[in-house]
Amino acid sequence: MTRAVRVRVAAVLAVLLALVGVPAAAWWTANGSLWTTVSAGTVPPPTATTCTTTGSVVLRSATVSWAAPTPAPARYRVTIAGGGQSTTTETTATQLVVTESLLGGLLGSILDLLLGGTTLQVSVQSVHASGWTSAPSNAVPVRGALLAGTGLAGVSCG
Amino acid sequence: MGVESSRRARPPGPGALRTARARRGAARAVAVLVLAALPLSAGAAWATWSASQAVSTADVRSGTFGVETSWQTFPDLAGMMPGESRDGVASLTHTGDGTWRYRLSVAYDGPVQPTVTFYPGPTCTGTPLAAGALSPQTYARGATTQVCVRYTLPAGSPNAWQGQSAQVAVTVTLESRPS
Repeated sequence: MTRAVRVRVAAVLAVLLALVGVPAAAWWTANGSLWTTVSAGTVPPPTATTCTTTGSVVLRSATVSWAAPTPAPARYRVTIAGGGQSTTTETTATQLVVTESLLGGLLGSILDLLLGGTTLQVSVQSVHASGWTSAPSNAVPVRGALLAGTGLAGVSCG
Repeated sequence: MGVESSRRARPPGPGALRTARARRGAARAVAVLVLAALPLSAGAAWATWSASQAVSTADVRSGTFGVETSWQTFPDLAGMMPGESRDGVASLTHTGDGTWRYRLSVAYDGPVQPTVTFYPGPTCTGTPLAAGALSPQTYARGATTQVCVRYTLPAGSPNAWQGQSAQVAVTVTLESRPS
Protein backbone atom coordinates (compact mmCIF):
# COMPACT_ATOMS: atom_id res chain seq x y z
CA MET A 1 0.00 0.00 0.00
CA THR A 2 1.53 3.24 -1.08
CA ARG A 3 1.74 6.29 1.08
CA ALA A 4 -0.90 8.07 -0.96
CA VAL A 5 -3.32 5.17 -0.54
CA ARG A 6 -2.70 5.04 3.17
CA VAL A 7 -3.37 8.74 3.48
CA ARG A 8 -6.63 8.35 1.57
CA VAL A 9 -7.73 5.41 3.72
CA ALA A 10 -6.96 7.37 6.87
CA ALA A 11 -8.90 10.35 5.58
CA VAL A 12 -11.91 8.20 4.73
CA LEU A 13 -11.82 6.57 8.17
CA ALA A 14 -11.61 9.97 9.84
CA VAL A 15 -14.65 11.18 7.92
CA LEU A 16 -16.59 8.02 8.80
CA LEU A 17 -15.70 8.39 12.48
CA ALA A 18 -16.87 11.97 12.43
CA LEU A 19 -20.16 10.91 10.94
CA VAL A 20 -20.82 8.20 13.51
CA GLY A 21 -22.95 9.77 16.22
CA VAL A 22 -22.64 8.99 19.90
CA PRO A 23 -26.00 8.82 21.59
CA ALA A 24 -26.44 11.54 24.14
CA ALA A 25 -27.14 10.42 27.71
CA ALA A 26 -28.68 12.74 30.26
CA TRP A 27 -30.48 12.38 33.53
CA TRP A 28 -31.75 14.47 36.34
CA THR A 29 -30.02 14.59 39.67
CA ALA A 30 -30.97 15.59 43.18
CA ASN A 31 -28.66 16.01 46.16
CA GLY A 32 -29.04 15.73 49.90
CA SER A 33 -26.39 15.88 52.62
CA LEU A 34 -26.20 14.47 56.12
CA TRP A 35 -23.79 16.12 58.50
CA THR A 36 -22.23 14.64 61.61
CA THR A 37 -19.55 15.79 64.01
CA VAL A 38 -16.71 13.44 64.70
CA SER A 39 -14.37 14.02 67.60
CA ALA A 40 -11.27 12.07 68.45
CA GLY A 41 -10.85 10.89 71.99
CA THR A 42 -7.98 11.64 74.28
CA VAL A 43 -5.73 9.32 76.22
CA PRO A 44 -6.04 10.22 79.89
CA PRO A 45 -2.79 10.59 81.82
CA PRO A 46 -2.04 8.71 85.03
CA THR A 47 -3.00 10.50 88.20
CA ALA A 48 -1.57 10.89 91.67
CA THR A 49 2.04 10.32 90.76
CA THR A 50 4.11 10.02 93.90
CA CYS A 51 7.64 9.10 94.91
CA THR A 52 8.59 6.98 97.90
CA THR A 53 12.13 6.29 99.01
CA THR A 54 12.58 2.60 99.60
CA GLY A 55 15.37 0.10 100.05
CA SER A 56 17.97 -0.33 102.73
CA VAL A 57 19.94 2.40 104.40
CA VAL A 58 23.02 1.60 102.37
CA LEU A 59 21.24 1.09 99.10
CA ARG A 60 18.24 3.29 98.59
CA SER A 61 15.90 3.45 95.65
CA ALA A 62 13.04 5.73 94.62
CA THR A 63 9.73 4.05 93.92
CA VAL A 64 7.56 6.19 91.63
CA SER A 65 3.89 5.18 91.67
CA TRP A 66 0.77 6.44 89.93
CA ALA A 67 -2.91 5.64 89.63
CA ALA A 68 -4.34 4.16 86.47
CA PRO A 69 -6.76 6.42 84.63
CA THR A 70 -10.10 5.32 83.22
CA PRO A 71 -10.04 3.72 80.73
CA ALA A 72 -6.80 2.05 81.61
CA PRO A 73 -4.13 2.34 78.93
CA ALA A 74 -2.22 -0.49 77.36
CA ARG A 75 0.98 0.57 79.10
CA TYR A 76 2.85 3.50 80.63
CA ARG A 77 5.84 5.45 79.43
CA VAL A 78 8.11 6.82 82.18
CA THR A 79 10.38 9.69 81.29
CA ILE A 80 13.40 10.61 83.39
CA ALA A 81 14.88 13.97 82.50
CA GLY A 82 17.45 16.41 83.80
CA GLY A 83 20.32 18.59 82.70
CA GLY A 84 18.94 18.84 79.18
CA GLN A 85 18.84 15.07 78.69
CA SER A 86 16.08 12.52 78.98
CA THR A 87 15.43 8.83 78.64
CA THR A 88 12.29 6.70 78.68
CA THR A 89 11.21 3.24 79.67
CA GLU A 90 7.84 1.53 79.39
CA THR A 91 5.95 -0.68 81.82
CA THR A 92 2.52 -2.16 82.26
CA ALA A 93 2.70 -1.77 86.05
CA THR A 94 1.64 1.33 87.94
CA GLN A 95 5.01 1.89 89.53
CA LEU A 96 8.69 2.01 88.67
CA VAL A 97 11.58 1.48 91.04
CA VAL A 98 14.33 3.89 90.07
CA THR A 99 17.79 2.57 90.92
CA GLU A 100 21.33 3.36 89.84
CA SER A 101 21.43 0.23 87.74
CA LEU A 102 18.18 1.15 86.00
CA LEU A 103 19.45 4.62 85.16
CA GLY A 104 22.79 3.29 84.01
CA GLY A 105 21.04 0.80 81.77
CA LEU A 106 18.83 3.44 80.22
CA LEU A 107 21.30 6.24 79.65
CA GLY A 108 24.75 6.45 81.19
CA SER A 109 24.85 10.21 81.06
CA ILE A 110 21.65 10.44 83.09
CA LEU A 111 23.27 8.37 85.81
CA ASP A 112 26.31 10.62 85.59
CA LEU A 113 24.06 13.62 86.13
CA LEU A 114 22.54 11.94 89.19
CA LEU A 115 25.95 11.08 90.57
CA GLY A 116 26.97 14.67 89.97
CA GLY A 117 24.18 15.88 92.19
CA THR A 118 21.58 16.82 89.58
CA THR A 119 17.98 16.32 90.55
CA LEU A 120 16.05 14.37 87.91
CA GLN A 121 12.35 14.71 87.12
CA VAL A 122 10.25 11.58 86.60
CA SER A 123 6.93 11.83 84.76
CA VAL A 124 4.54 9.21 83.42
CA GLN A 125 2.35 9.04 80.29
CA SER A 126 -0.41 6.61 79.40
CA VAL A 127 0.05 4.80 76.10
CA HIS A 128 -3.05 3.65 74.19
CA ALA A 129 -2.96 0.42 72.23
CA SER A 130 -2.93 2.48 69.03
CA GLY A 131 0.23 4.25 70.09
CA TRP A 132 -1.45 7.48 71.07
CA THR A 133 0.09 8.89 74.24
CA SER A 134 -1.39 11.06 76.94
CA ALA A 135 -0.10 14.28 78.31
CA PRO A 136 2.53 13.65 81.03
CA SER A 137 1.51 13.34 84.62
CA ASN A 138 2.88 15.64 87.24
CA ALA A 139 6.63 15.12 87.63
CA VAL A 140 8.28 13.95 90.81
CA PRO A 141 11.96 14.64 91.60
CA VAL A 142 14.61 12.03 92.40
CA ARG A 143 18.23 12.55 93.37
CA GLY A 144 21.23 10.69 94.53
CA ALA A 145 20.93 9.37 98.07
CA LEU A 146 23.85 10.38 100.22
CA LEU A 147 24.94 8.38 103.16
CA ALA A 148 26.96 10.32 105.67
CA GLY A 149 30.60 9.38 105.53
CA THR A 150 30.30 6.95 102.68
CA GLY A 151 29.05 9.04 99.80
CA LEU A 152 26.36 7.93 97.34
CA ALA A 153 23.99 5.21 98.50
CA GLY A 154 21.46 4.84 95.69
CA VAL A 155 18.53 7.00 94.60
CA SER A 156 16.04 8.79 96.77
CA CYS A 157 13.03 11.01 96.31
CA GLY A 158 13.11 14.78 96.54
CA MET B 1 -28.74 45.39 -75.82
CA GLY B 2 -28.67 42.78 -73.35
CA VAL B 3 -26.34 42.63 -70.67
CA GLU B 4 -24.81 39.41 -70.43
CA SER B 5 -23.68 38.45 -67.23
CA SER B 6 -22.04 35.38 -66.57
CA ARG B 7 -21.37 34.09 -63.15
CA ARG B 8 -18.95 31.49 -62.91
CA ALA B 9 -18.66 29.29 -59.90
CA ARG B 10 -15.65 30.22 -58.06
CA PRO B 11 -14.27 28.79 -54.83
CA PRO B 12 -15.22 30.99 -51.88
CA GLY B 13 -12.60 33.27 -50.65
CA PRO B 14 -11.29 33.64 -47.07
CA GLY B 15 -13.82 36.37 -46.24
CA ALA B 16 -16.75 34.19 -47.20
CA LEU B 17 -15.51 31.39 -44.98
CA ARG B 18 -15.28 33.71 -41.95
CA THR B 19 -18.80 34.90 -42.58
CA ALA B 20 -20.17 31.37 -42.70
CA ARG B 21 -18.46 30.41 -39.46
CA ALA B 22 -19.79 33.50 -37.74
CA ARG B 23 -23.29 32.68 -38.84
CA ARG B 24 -23.05 29.16 -37.56
CA GLY B 25 -21.72 30.39 -34.25
CA ALA B 26 -24.51 32.88 -33.91
CA ALA B 27 -27.06 30.19 -34.69
CA ARG B 28 -25.61 27.97 -31.98
CA ALA B 29 -25.72 30.78 -29.47
CA VAL B 30 -29.33 31.49 -30.26
CA ALA B 31 -30.16 27.80 -29.88
CA VAL B 32 -28.50 27.65 -26.50
CA LEU B 33 -30.34 30.72 -25.32
CA VAL B 34 -33.64 29.36 -26.49
CA LEU B 35 -33.06 26.03 -24.79
CA ALA B 36 -31.99 27.76 -21.62
CA ALA B 37 -34.99 30.02 -21.63
CA LEU B 38 -37.49 27.25 -22.25
CA PRO B 39 -37.82 26.11 -18.63
CA LEU B 40 -38.36 29.67 -17.57
CA SER B 41 -40.97 30.53 -20.05
CA ALA B 42 -42.76 27.23 -20.46
CA GLY B 43 -43.76 26.55 -16.84
CA ALA B 44 -47.35 25.48 -16.52
CA ALA B 45 -49.57 26.95 -13.88
CA TRP B 46 -50.41 24.51 -11.06
CA ALA B 47 -52.19 24.45 -7.75
CA THR B 48 -52.93 21.95 -4.97
CA TRP B 49 -55.63 21.76 -2.38
CA SER B 50 -54.77 21.25 1.22
CA ALA B 51 -56.67 20.64 4.38
CA SER B 52 -55.55 20.54 8.03
CA GLN B 53 -57.09 19.95 11.43
CA ALA B 54 -55.62 19.93 14.92
CA VAL B 55 -55.73 16.37 16.22
CA SER B 56 -55.97 17.22 19.88
CA THR B 57 -54.40 19.45 22.46
CA ALA B 58 -51.71 17.80 24.54
CA ASP B 59 -50.14 19.13 27.72
CA VAL B 60 -46.45 18.56 27.98
CA ARG B 61 -45.34 18.69 31.58
CA SER B 62 -41.83 18.04 32.78
CA GLY B 63 -41.50 15.80 35.81
CA THR B 64 -39.94 16.57 39.14
CA PHE B 65 -37.04 14.84 40.81
CA GLY B 66 -35.90 15.22 44.37
CA VAL B 67 -34.53 13.47 47.44
CA GLU B 68 -35.14 13.66 51.16
CA THR B 69 -32.39 12.43 53.47
CA SER B 70 -32.40 11.80 57.19
CA TRP B 71 -30.65 9.70 59.80
CA GLN B 72 -32.61 6.61 60.70
CA THR B 73 -29.89 5.81 63.22
CA PHE B 74 -27.75 8.77 64.13
CA PRO B 75 -24.06 7.89 64.40
CA ASP B 76 -22.46 8.87 67.70
CA LEU B 77 -18.94 9.79 66.70
CA ALA B 78 -17.78 11.38 69.93
CA GLY B 79 -14.47 10.37 71.48
CA MET B 80 -13.35 7.97 68.77
CA MET B 81 -9.99 6.27 69.19
CA PRO B 82 -7.73 4.87 66.46
CA GLY B 83 -8.99 1.59 65.07
CA GLU B 84 -12.51 2.20 66.33
CA SER B 85 -15.62 2.08 64.10
CA ARG B 86 -19.10 3.51 64.61
CA ASP B 87 -22.16 3.02 62.39
CA GLY B 88 -25.12 5.12 61.34
CA VAL B 89 -28.05 4.38 59.03
CA ALA B 90 -29.16 6.99 56.52
CA SER B 91 -32.61 6.98 54.95
CA LEU B 92 -33.07 8.15 51.35
CA THR B 93 -36.51 8.91 49.99
CA HIS B 94 -37.13 9.83 46.39
CA THR B 95 -39.67 12.48 45.54
CA GLY B 96 -41.04 13.14 42.08
CA ASP B 97 -41.01 11.05 38.94
CA GLY B 98 -39.00 8.31 37.35
CA THR B 99 -36.83 5.47 38.52
CA TRP B 100 -33.50 6.21 40.13
CA ARG B 101 -30.17 5.11 41.47
CA TYR B 102 -27.80 6.88 43.82
CA ARG B 103 -24.18 7.77 44.45
CA LEU B 104 -22.55 8.68 47.77
CA SER B 105 -19.63 10.91 48.60
CA VAL B 106 -17.98 12.21 51.74
CA ALA B 107 -16.42 15.55 52.62
CA TYR B 108 -14.60 16.76 55.73
CA ASP B 109 -14.31 20.10 57.43
CA GLY B 110 -11.72 19.78 60.14
CA PRO B 111 -8.51 17.94 60.98
CA VAL B 112 -10.02 14.60 61.98
CA GLN B 113 -10.80 12.49 58.94
CA PRO B 114 -12.32 9.08 59.64
CA THR B 115 -12.61 6.57 56.85
CA VAL B 116 -16.23 6.33 55.68
CA THR B 117 -17.57 3.12 54.18
CA PHE B 118 -21.04 2.76 52.64
CA TYR B 119 -23.16 -0.39 52.66
CA PRO B 120 -26.45 -0.48 50.72
CA GLY B 121 -29.11 -1.51 53.21
CA PRO B 122 -29.78 -1.02 56.91
CA THR B 123 -26.77 -3.01 58.18
CA CYS B 124 -23.08 -2.52 57.61
CA THR B 125 -22.58 -5.96 56.11
CA GLY B 126 -21.99 -7.35 52.66
CA THR B 127 -20.20 -5.68 49.81
CA PRO B 128 -19.52 -2.01 50.41
CA LEU B 129 -20.39 0.59 47.80
CA ALA B 130 -17.39 2.69 46.86
CA ALA B 131 -17.72 6.43 47.12
CA GLY B 132 -18.82 7.83 43.77
CA ALA B 133 -20.05 4.49 42.47
CA LEU B 134 -23.59 4.02 41.22
CA SER B 135 -25.84 1.94 43.45
CA PRO B 136 -26.25 -1.62 42.18
CA GLN B 137 -30.03 -1.47 42.35
CA THR B 138 -32.55 0.73 40.52
CA TYR B 139 -35.36 2.02 42.70
CA ALA B 140 -38.96 2.85 41.88
CA ARG B 141 -40.58 6.24 41.94
CA GLY B 142 -41.05 7.45 45.51
CA ALA B 143 -39.13 4.55 47.01
CA THR B 144 -37.20 4.75 50.28
CA THR B 145 -33.99 2.89 50.93
CA GLN B 146 -31.35 2.79 53.63
CA VAL B 147 -27.60 3.10 53.54
CA CYS B 148 -25.44 2.00 56.44
CA VAL B 149 -22.52 4.36 56.96
CA ARG B 150 -19.49 3.14 58.86
CA TYR B 151 -16.98 5.65 60.27
CA THR B 152 -13.57 4.28 61.17
CA LEU B 153 -10.73 6.21 62.72
CA PRO B 154 -7.68 4.62 61.09
CA ALA B 155 -5.29 2.74 63.33
CA GLY B 156 -2.45 4.94 62.19
CA SER B 157 -4.18 8.22 62.96
CA PRO B 158 -1.71 10.86 64.10
CA ASN B 159 -1.38 11.57 67.81
CA ALA B 160 -2.14 15.23 67.04
CA TRP B 161 -5.78 14.31 66.31
CA GLN B 162 -6.40 13.72 70.02
CA GLY B 163 -9.21 15.93 71.24
CA GLN B 164 -9.78 17.42 67.76
CA SER B 165 -13.06 17.33 65.89
CA ALA B 166 -14.42 17.76 62.36
CA GLN B 167 -17.65 18.00 60.46
CA VAL B 168 -18.24 15.07 58.13
CA ALA B 169 -20.79 15.37 55.32
CA VAL B 170 -22.24 12.42 53.50
CA THR B 171 -23.78 13.61 50.25
CA VAL B 172 -26.37 11.52 48.44
CA THR B 173 -26.88 12.16 44.75
CA LEU B 174 -29.94 10.59 43.14
CA GLU B 175 -29.87 10.15 39.37
CA SER B 176 -32.89 9.45 37.22
CA ARG B 177 -32.11 6.18 35.51
CA PRO B 178 -34.27 3.87 33.47
CA SER B 179 -35.13 0.61 35.15
